[in-house]
Amino acid sequence: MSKNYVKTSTGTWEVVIGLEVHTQIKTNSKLFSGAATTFAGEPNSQVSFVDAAMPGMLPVPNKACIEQTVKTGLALNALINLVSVFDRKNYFYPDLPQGYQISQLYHPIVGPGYLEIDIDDTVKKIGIERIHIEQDAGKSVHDVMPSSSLIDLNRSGIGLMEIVTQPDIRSGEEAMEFIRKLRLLLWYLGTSDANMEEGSLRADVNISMHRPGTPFGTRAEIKNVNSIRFIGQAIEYEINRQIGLLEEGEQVVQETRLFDAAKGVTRSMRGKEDAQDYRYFPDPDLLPVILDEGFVQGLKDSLPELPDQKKKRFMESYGLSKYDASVIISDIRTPTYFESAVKNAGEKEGTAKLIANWVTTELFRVLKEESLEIDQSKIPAASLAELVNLIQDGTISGRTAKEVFLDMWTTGKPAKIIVEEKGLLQISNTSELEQLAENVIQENPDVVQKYKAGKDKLLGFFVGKMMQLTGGKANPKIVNEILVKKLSE
Amino acid sequence: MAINRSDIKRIEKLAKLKLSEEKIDDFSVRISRVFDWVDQLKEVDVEGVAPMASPLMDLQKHTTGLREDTVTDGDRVHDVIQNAPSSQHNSFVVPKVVE
Repeated sequence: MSKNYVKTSTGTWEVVIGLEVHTQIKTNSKLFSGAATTFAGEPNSQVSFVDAAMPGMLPVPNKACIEQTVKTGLALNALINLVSVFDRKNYFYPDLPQGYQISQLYHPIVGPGYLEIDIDDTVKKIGIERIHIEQDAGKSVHDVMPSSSLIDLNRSGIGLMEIVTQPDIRSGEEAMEFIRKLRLLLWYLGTSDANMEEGSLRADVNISMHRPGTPFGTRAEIKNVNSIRFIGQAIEYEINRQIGLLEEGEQVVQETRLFDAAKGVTRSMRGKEDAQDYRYFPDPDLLPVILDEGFVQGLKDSLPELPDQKKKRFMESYGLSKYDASVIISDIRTPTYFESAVKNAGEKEGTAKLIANWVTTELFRVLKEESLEIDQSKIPAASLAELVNLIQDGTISGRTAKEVFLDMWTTGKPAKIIVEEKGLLQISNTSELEQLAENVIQENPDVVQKYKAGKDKLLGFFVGKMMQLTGGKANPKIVNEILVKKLSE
Repeated sequence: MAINRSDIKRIEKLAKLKLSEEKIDDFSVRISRVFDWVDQLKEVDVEGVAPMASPLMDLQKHTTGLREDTVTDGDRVHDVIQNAPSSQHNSFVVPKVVE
């Protein structure tokens, strides 16, 4: 029985979710014009006559939009349609100057594919139905003038990819993981910034409830959810709302709903009681996009190493645990830092694992405290490598290293200099430590007696004494060996 | 195929237009004629003929021209909004629409 099932007093329910993800294609210029795509420019400063839909202006597709979408499709293991066609989706809204959005309904550029997500240590395949290219609309600003809205067309005509999944998702957690994984993939590919704060990635969530083993229920569509957390919350709310209706013997209405983030609820969009009729037809201003196999193959050959491949390689060639590898690959900059540190440290047994440890614990902690990205780290990869080398060759203990690390962060000095200046060199000199051990044993005959009588744990007492005498600089491994040997004499 | 008044009222709503009663009558007659002509076209046998996205569509030859991805336009706020009936803050001003 699936753990995703929702059990109530009337029995078991299953949620069925499909996502439509709209994400801005990363390009310099718009889908059909030469205006810039930069975020937050002055109102209407990034608008050409095409974007403002001035009479007689004609769209010319941006080659990069096609390439970026095909690359995304290839990374999603999808079929690339060598012939795709632009259609007009007709509706009237003030931020849509053309009176229609140019999209691809009947012949999208990318067909079926899939994305694998990790859920509770198992891999689940989420089917991709299609990806099509379409124009973004402009922005309405409602809060500047009391009885009018302002229209800024900077966003109008920017290229979007709409990535549509199959209804394969069975929980809010799966939906959130899908978005996280997709976003990471887009970052690796460089095909979209997928920045939810700037609105460059938004999702429509289709959701329905049914009894397992019976046909799918009627779905509601929650529009434009713009954060991963909100997607989880909206789904959670919608599951309870729909179960409530169905258990009361009522019907779920097929409708568009909005997620109200402040209240954590979804509500029906007013004024949408009539089913929309978009009257799609092929855009007569545009010819079909016809690609040849060579073009697609070229893009396939240019794909970078993708998150799953990188994770696998980190586990295989550096011996990282699945967890550490997943943490390191989960943004685009950390792998570069990590690999640079490993390269600088040199290939030794356990070096990479030790570096992974330092990166994911100490380094991540200080970066988070100062809200820095890893490429702004005050400790460059090569310096971390040097610190790790000092630990590995026994120059300093792991405990001392943490102190050195913080000094490196604040002073910017290399590890070696700090160790020398502060006299933190680990004492690994056996004869020196043997003499010390002898003294400690002589001074505590009663404890020695108890130890010899079988209280093994008292070894810690002697180790502690020696650490105290050396200011924590004694090599703990050697201290242990010496003490065990001497105490058994 | 006859287009009746309720069809016209639906189109009126979709296009956010406001038509007078006479115009509605007038349009239902005129648009009906267009549909009659389309009905006539439907008599042609197109069995096995692929739909055509463009009269220029010849799969082997006529793909769309593509632009290189460079910024060549924009930075012309005045040109863009100068014909707007109303503008403020370099933006088009429209009746308040919150949906």
